[in-house]
Amino acid sequence: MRSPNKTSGTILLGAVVVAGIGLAFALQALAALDPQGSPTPGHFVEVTEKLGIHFRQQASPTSKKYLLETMGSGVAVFDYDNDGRLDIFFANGARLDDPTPKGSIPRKDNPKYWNRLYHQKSDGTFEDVTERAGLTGFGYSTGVAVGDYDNDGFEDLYVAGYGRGTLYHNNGDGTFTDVTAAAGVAGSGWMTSAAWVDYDNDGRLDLVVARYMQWDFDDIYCGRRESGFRSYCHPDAFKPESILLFHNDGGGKFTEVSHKAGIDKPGKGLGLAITDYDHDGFMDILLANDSMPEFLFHNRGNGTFEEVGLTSGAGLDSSGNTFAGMGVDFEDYNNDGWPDIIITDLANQRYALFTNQKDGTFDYSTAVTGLSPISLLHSGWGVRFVDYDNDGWKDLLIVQSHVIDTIEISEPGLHYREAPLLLHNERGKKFVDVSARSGEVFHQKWAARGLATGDIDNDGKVDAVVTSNDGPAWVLLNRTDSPNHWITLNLVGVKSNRDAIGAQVRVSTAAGDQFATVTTSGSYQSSSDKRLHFGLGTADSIGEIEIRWPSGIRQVLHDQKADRIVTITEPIK
Amino acid sequence: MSAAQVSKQNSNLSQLQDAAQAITAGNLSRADSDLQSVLHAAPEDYRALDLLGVVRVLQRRETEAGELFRRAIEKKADFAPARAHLGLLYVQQGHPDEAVPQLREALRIDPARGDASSALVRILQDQAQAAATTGDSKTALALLMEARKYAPDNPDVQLELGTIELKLSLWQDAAEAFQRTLRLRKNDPLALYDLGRAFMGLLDYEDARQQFARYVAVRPDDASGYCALGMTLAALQRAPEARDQFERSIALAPEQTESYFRLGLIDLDAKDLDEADKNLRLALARKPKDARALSALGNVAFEQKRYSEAIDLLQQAIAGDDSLREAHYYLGLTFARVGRKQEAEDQLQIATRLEHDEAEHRRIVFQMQDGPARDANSSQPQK
Repeated sequence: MRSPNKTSGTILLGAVVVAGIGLAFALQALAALDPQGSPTPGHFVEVTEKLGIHFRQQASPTSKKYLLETMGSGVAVFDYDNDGRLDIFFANGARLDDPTPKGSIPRKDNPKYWNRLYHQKSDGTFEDVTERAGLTGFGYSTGVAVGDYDNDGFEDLYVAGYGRGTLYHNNGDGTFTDVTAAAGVAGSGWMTSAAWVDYDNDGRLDLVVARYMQWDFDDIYCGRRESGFRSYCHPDAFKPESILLFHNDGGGKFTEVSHKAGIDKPGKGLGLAITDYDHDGFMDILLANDSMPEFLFHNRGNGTFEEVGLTSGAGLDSSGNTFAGMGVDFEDYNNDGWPDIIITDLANQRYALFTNQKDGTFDYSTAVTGLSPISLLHSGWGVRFVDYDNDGWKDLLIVQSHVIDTIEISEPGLHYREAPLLLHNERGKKFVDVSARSGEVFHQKWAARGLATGDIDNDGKVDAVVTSNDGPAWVLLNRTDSPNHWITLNLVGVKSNRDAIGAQVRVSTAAGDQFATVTTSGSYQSSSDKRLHFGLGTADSIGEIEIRWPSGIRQVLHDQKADRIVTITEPIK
Repeated sequence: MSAAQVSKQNSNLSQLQDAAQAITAGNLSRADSDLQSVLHAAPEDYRALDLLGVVRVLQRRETEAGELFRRAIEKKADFAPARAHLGLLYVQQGHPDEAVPQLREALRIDPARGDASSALVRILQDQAQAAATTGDSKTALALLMEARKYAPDNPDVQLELGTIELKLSLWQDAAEAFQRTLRLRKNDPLALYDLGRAFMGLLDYEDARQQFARYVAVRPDDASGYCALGMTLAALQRAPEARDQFERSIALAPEQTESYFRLGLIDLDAKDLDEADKNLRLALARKPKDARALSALGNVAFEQKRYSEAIDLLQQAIAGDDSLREAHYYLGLTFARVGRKQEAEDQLQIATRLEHDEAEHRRIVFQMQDGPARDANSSQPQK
């Protein structure tokens, strides 16, 4: 689908659609013949302060260059009070002493280290409700995952951290209760990203927590022994650590089952994403590992997983090299109905795009989709497939920064702070860098880390929130000039988990089909709006919406109007 | 000192100066006479012994010359001219190993002695070349580093040093040596080319590209320059420009393999599998056992789902070079596709281990760059 303002050819096509002539195949053929204009640039406006958000992540940099202090903290975009407006939660660091004794758990001993919850008011501005909500936090927080684990209709929060994670139960009255101990989900070690997923389709969300490495506050010197050259250590200096899988037993109790489930293969996990990549009805888990093969845990459907990253072709790049996997997303970028993988990494590695081959394998498609020259010299963290211009093809929004704050000294061609990247999806074939034409935001150099997306102002365009390492956060409202239509689906599970996480949706219009899976995970240490957003191009109605609920129930809706947010509840049968 | 002693010393000095002038003028008999006179009066005069040694060298009485230089050194061990002259005599006699300590000592005493430094540098260069020929690059490196100490402005020494450093994967050091060469000898083609290679080693592809672009401007008829330029452009993911350079290289040297191989890789990246197949087969037609080309062709067969052929090609590649990570990787993927699970896992494990070994190698290179003062922890490269 393309914007109708490109050529007279597409205007004609739009007229044909409006006339209601169902010539889908002919339209697609004609569209393919239409000469390609330059892709629609985005227009994202940074409005953080205007909206009343004043968050600043505290990394607590030290002279010891503790690795923890450069990995940042994530952000969640979710509606905690069910008022229909997205709220924002920021994870935050904690005080690190210089030096910090080995075995220490850093403390949030000053309000500047608190995690922060910002409630969106009816006028679109935000208010800090952290204390009232009881979310000031514990320790050095890293990732955040949103999910209604007790199916009570209110979104709960899991905040990962160094040494301990915290589960906050949403009381439904604007407050949260720390239920970590009772739930048994404190975890251990350096936890990074987390994801809610019902891996056994029992209707309750389970919790997956990635862990980075076996790491402590040892005084390990890395980099050249010259003033200004001390550097953060390479992950090769540390042993890998296994993922944690907490099975939701109901009644607010969880059991850690990673070994029993066969998911405890040691990795160096940073990013986490879920989907059912092989359409077998069970959710699979992708773990972006830093400097070792990426892990793809295939769900066998019997409560156990098989790690198939290498054999599926999604573990290494096209030369068989590992790369520094950091952020990840697992969505269908080419509208063929099969989820694909994007993993961000460091400069000189290229962002890894793996296209689903529909047979349980993946093809490294970075070069053929044009991502190689775009990403070669960049380092990416948070990443999301987002259809910013509602043309029906999922584009890529990537926030960037090198991991080493002194990289300019050792590698003058690279930069620590980098501008975000916005890549337009050219009908699932190529990605084109439209950053330079997409607003001032894409010219600002940030030490970005986390990225969460969602339609914050409910205007039909997906917005974004970005965190930085030891710096501010940014709210980016999408003001892209596009007449394209859209629909946002808010799925409510009944037999399935109430968030409908794992539900697979096909949206069919005259221009073709699109697919998406309900999830709040993906990106880097962040949690995005669970609502599914579809750009519809010139189509102002949807012929068919098909939902495959995690319960196995299939639901089909016909002739839905575009340009609205629709809540769909899982049918009983 | 008494007045008589001072007078005698002045007389000796005057005679020594006369002798030196006579040597310079080629009047060896006069010099000989003056020096014999000095030695008659002062048999221990090391300056006279040294100058007489010089006379004997010029008279081709080398054995006597050597004896005189050694006596001069006996009398005064830190007399640089005698050390230098004895060293030069050894060089003349074809005994460089014996010359080296004398020349080094002469330069230690008097670093400004041009005759000693140029002779010593020449010896060190020769020895380095001999060591490099036998594969002893580390010895060659040490010798050339010493040569550079004595002759920092010698472009040949800088170039040879850079070449050895490049061989040892000491990319940064090599780059600096080639940059010094180019400061001393602008547009030296070898230095330009090897500086490009050093930048490639440093993963500094843009600087590498600039050097190879300068190289092809200096040597427009050299096919290898265009090929190298194409490789840097390919590394920069500028595939269309890289393709142009490889095609120019092939136009100049149609019988080569490298540019066909590189074109095949570009085609493979672009999933233009038929074209990749064609170019890789052209490379193999000229070099049938090229493991890299066999591996890439195996990759093409894998992409085309011709798994049996892929296995055959990849196994051939590994037979030719079992350190080819990509061959193991794609063989592993191919085995996985045809259900040979254990063999797949074995090959994939080898591939990841090879990658890890490469990382270890890079770490060692970085450690060597920073010298022995670093401890074990500091050898970790930056992420």
